[in-house]
Amino acid sequence: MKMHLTLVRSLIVLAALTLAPVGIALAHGVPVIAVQPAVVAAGDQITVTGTEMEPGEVFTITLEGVSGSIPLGEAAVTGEGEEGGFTATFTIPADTAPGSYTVRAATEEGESAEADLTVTAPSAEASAGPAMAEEPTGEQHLLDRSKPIGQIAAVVVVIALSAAAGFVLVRSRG
Amino acid sequence: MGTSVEPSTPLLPTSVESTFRSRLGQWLDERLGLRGIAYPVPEHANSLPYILGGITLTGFVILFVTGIYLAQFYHPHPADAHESVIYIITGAPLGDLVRSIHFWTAQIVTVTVLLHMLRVLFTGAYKRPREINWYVGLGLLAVTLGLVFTGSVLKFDQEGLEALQHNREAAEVIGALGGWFSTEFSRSVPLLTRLFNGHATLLPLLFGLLIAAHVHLIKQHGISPKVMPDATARSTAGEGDSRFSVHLRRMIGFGLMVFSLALVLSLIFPAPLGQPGVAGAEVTKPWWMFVWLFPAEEAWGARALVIVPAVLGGLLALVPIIDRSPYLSPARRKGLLTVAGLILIVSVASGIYAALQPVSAHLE
Repeated sequence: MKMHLTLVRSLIVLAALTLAPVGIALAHGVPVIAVQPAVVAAGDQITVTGTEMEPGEVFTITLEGVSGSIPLGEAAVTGEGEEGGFTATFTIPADTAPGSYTVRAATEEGESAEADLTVTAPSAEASAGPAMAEEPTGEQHLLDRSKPIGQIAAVVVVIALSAAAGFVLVRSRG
Repeated sequence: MGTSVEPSTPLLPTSVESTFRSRLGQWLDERLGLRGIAYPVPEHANSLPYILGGITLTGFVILFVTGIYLAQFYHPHPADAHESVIYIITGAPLGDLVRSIHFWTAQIVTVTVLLHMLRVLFTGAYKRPREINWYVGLGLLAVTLGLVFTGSVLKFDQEGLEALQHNREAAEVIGALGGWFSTEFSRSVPLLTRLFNGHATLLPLLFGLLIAAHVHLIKQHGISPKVMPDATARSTAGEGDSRFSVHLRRMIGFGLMVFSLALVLSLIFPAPLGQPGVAGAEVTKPWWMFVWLFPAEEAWGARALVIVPAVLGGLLALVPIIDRSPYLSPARRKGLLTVAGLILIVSVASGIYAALQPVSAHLE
């Protein structure tokens, strides 16, 4: 019985420790930022959009990577009530090494939000970057998915053979 | 009820026995011990509901083979991932077909693994001495859903990117425990690349370990007894009128049918690919195995994406602890099955509701 009580207490403490961040997150809200485009050439601009913020707050925007942190600038939150946010444009320094980065928005009070950003080389080709949709869309990517008639015929044969073999194996009881 | 097999009983049917008597058969048997797979199993083990786990396993074999092929052409970097999927579809030899087989087999396997779990729940196959295997099975279910989730992100289209964003939000809710899903976890490797590593190495490794334990425990305890009014849970190892070789043959047979079905679906409905993802937007719905969570997310926010699965997982983990009677018949377990049925109905209804809602409503 005593062991059970100890186990139950341990589980409660573990659950409390695990869920502790939930309470903190709810009490203060969670700032969110989005960066567009997600892939950018060094020297080009990104647009950082912040939401779920308190009006009046000032966020310092930095670019963080393996080689350290690069300051991009500041963004002041505007809006009313709990609906504050910002939209700000920053230029990625032309000498930024290509690679994966995190764009971080942080206040002096310790609130922060981050988003991924991939920086490519500042060449003309890289500036064009991979084809990124300007507006988000749930539409399918239209591609030519027609297949040679020979491939279709071969697949149909495989389907028939596989189904027949499967049927024989399932039916055989011996 | 199965019967014990005397040692003198021939282990294989006459036709198979004669095959084994052939020189090639003897040669193989001597080296591979093929005769060992002909151990007794109860006849009901060969019925479809009891082969669902085996069908799932054959589906995973298809997924591993097609996945290895796709990995030769996929580039797991945010800048190149979507483009490489386009290349798989338009440029890689048989790429569109193989990717579609991978996609449809994943859908089928998710269905069969859920049906397998429901069969085990309905027939009381989690009862003593099979409780540990129930937990191993829950682990396999979690790994399966983890594979489906990471696979849906890898294509890095709008739906994949939104799935990743939801996951990151959910990970933030659980604090340090969700740290692996944060971009801060590794400065040198993007999250997408790490998810690919998870999809192609960590989760398959975990799957391999768990499935080995799952199969070992099934062999150890035998298939759960046939459900009858007074049937009770017990080990059936070494009992039965049929053979595991027959079970295996039917398992492979159903696996070939699954392959055929995946091929048919791949020809008619090639695996979808959306437009390149734009961060911060929400204009798509997740796949069916996750969409049921979204009404809860609308009501309670990102923490619902953690709490609801955790509560359901916790309830499933409690099943062998709550239901400790030895009886297998559903008629003797009405309370537990009623609660399970209600949860299932609510989940399905939630999924249908979320699927029918316009995207804008789901985003609000």
